[in-house]
Amino acid sequence: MTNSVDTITLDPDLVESMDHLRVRAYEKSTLGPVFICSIVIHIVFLSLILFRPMTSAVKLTFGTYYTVDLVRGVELSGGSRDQSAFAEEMKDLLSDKRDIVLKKKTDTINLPPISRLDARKKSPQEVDKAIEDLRRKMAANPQGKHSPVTTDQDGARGAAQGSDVMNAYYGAIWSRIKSKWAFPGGILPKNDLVAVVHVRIMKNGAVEDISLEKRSANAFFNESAVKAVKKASPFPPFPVGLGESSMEVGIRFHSSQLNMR
Amino acid sequence: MGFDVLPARDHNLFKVNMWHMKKTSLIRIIFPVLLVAVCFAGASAARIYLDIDSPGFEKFPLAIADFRQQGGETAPADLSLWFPNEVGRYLAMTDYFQIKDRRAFLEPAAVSATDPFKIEYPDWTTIGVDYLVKGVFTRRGTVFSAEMRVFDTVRAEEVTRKTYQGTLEGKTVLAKAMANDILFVLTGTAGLFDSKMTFTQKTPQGAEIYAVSFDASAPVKMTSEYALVVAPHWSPDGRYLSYTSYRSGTQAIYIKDMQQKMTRRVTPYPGMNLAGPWSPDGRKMLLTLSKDGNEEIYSLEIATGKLTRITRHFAIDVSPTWSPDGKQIAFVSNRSGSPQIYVMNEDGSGTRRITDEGGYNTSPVWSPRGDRIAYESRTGGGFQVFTVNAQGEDVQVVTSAGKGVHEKPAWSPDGRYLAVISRQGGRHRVMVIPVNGSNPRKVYETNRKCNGLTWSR
Repeated sequence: MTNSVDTITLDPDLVESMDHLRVRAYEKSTLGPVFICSIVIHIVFLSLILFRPMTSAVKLTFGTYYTVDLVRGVELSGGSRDQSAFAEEMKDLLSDKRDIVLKKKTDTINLPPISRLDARKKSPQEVDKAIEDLRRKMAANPQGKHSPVTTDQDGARGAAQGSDVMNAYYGAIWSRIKSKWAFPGGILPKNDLVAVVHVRIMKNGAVEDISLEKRSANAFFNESAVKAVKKASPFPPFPVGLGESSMEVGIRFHSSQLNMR
Repeated sequence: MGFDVLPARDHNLFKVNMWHMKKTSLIRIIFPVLLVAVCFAGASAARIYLDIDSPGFEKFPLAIADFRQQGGETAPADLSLWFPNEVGRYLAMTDYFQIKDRRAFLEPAAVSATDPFKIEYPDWTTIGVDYLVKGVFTRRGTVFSAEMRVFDTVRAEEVTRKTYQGTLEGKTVLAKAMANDILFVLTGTAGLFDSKMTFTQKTPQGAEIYAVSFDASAPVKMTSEYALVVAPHWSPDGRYLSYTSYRSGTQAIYIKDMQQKMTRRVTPYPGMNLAGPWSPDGRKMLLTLSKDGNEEIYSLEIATGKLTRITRHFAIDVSPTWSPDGKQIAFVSNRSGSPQIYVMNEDGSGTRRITDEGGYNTSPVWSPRGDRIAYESRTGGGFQVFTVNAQGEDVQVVTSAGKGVHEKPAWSPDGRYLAVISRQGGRHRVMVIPVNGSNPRKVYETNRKCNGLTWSR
């Protein structure tokens, strides 16, 4: 009971924030040398930056992506670049049958509103014809010596328009699912979760099957993803001119943006 | 044209990193990708992937139908509304649910006239409800019982059901239990509405310990020391409360058994005796003592009284906090010249500094999830709360100066919320903030200074 305790102040604030109090005194005593040191280092670095030899501007890149190959497609339609390479790629793609990934950020792309779909419907024959032309040329010219994209300007324009229609269709699906996705980010740990829901959309917009292609570690997150697709379906019918009876779409739900506010 | 379902092969073929791209380049990429997709869709049937980075709505839309009386003696008629309102009030506090207004309900009352749990699912999905709660109650003498079922309206199936028994007077307990069960089945969090935040509050003699619960009900006084009390900490089972008290005139650490209503003195050692948190297994307690010259961190085996010194440094080492697995300890030290947060192994080895932004970082608390450490940092005029991962990366802001000073962070038992003490204009508040920083909620307010906040089951 009767310890010879060195007198410690009884103010609760001081006791509870003992570290604050003591450290402040410490800081004062060390501030001088640290400050001078900092000034010297700053001066040295600044002079290094100011007087270093002039070099060409640094180019910033954001990792490797396939811009060159893909962008060439657009430039080709103007007929300004090497066309045979593009046709070659198209052919590779055709034979490869690999999946294509559309990555989209929430607020970076302005998709045409769904209503514009109707406006475009007035030229389905044109789109049809363009796509048909393109296929015929590809088949007739497997070596790609004469790229269909450049030899047939009309065809390229038509295809571009067709892609615009599809772009709008995917955009419609995307925004529909997003608007139906309800999930409180607070219930997740701060990990980046990804759940992929696979869905097969029929020509009339009906949904044939919805399944989890890839589960995240959080069951509640997975469930919310499946629910979002279920609630968003049925989707609009396919744009006129798309000859498919159904299409496969993978919807990737990310948690990365949920906790970052 | 034929259509083949293709196995998903190389998804990364055209994977494009969009995060840092400008709008123009984004369109330049997406447009040709789609061109390719459309041109050769018929021949190759390539699969399209759409990425969704955030939900359209950051809450679960939930409806609670009016409860129905089922047999028994007549109970107050307004109970059929009282239960949905009360359960909804609790769930809304979590910030995870949007409780649908009953005026939007489409399902006619006749649907559940014969079977109270019969549901017309389209009536609920039409109004945008993901989950539906229905319930019945019965009163027989003093016994009051209720049954609650939760339905998934999108899948058109039952999620869970549970029966409750109590008294009519204790109906609040039943409603709280229902809210706890709904929260658990839909989000995985257990017992949030029973958890409590404990803190010290200034009194004429010094300070006493008080506790408020998540639902912001009136605070309960936990100690009567008639002296200055600081640093309250609960044992993991919620039975013992440890703290530092000046009741004998000098600092000493006490453990109060809340069941037996008995208080035991653990120390004193000469000098500072500051109580710290209990180990996750409840067998040890961290202390800050200055008996060996300056403030160092010790662990005390509660059953045997064995004291082990953990830090050995001429600088001040204080404010220890356990990692959830009990293998590491975060603490504050001024060994670098200013107070910063450090992490070390349980035995004091492997010390590393984890805060490098800000010249004054204190009060670390390790998340029960283990992934992050919350702390207060001096910014401009006062303190604000931040979190950082255990590797010292990814610092995130929890509070900002707009609403005063925020300090003494405490994690909820599920690690999804932080409680902080907020000070502004002579008022002291206990605030609950979802970890993402959205919608802070006040659970207590006073003009007497509060400190030493913890949150326990």
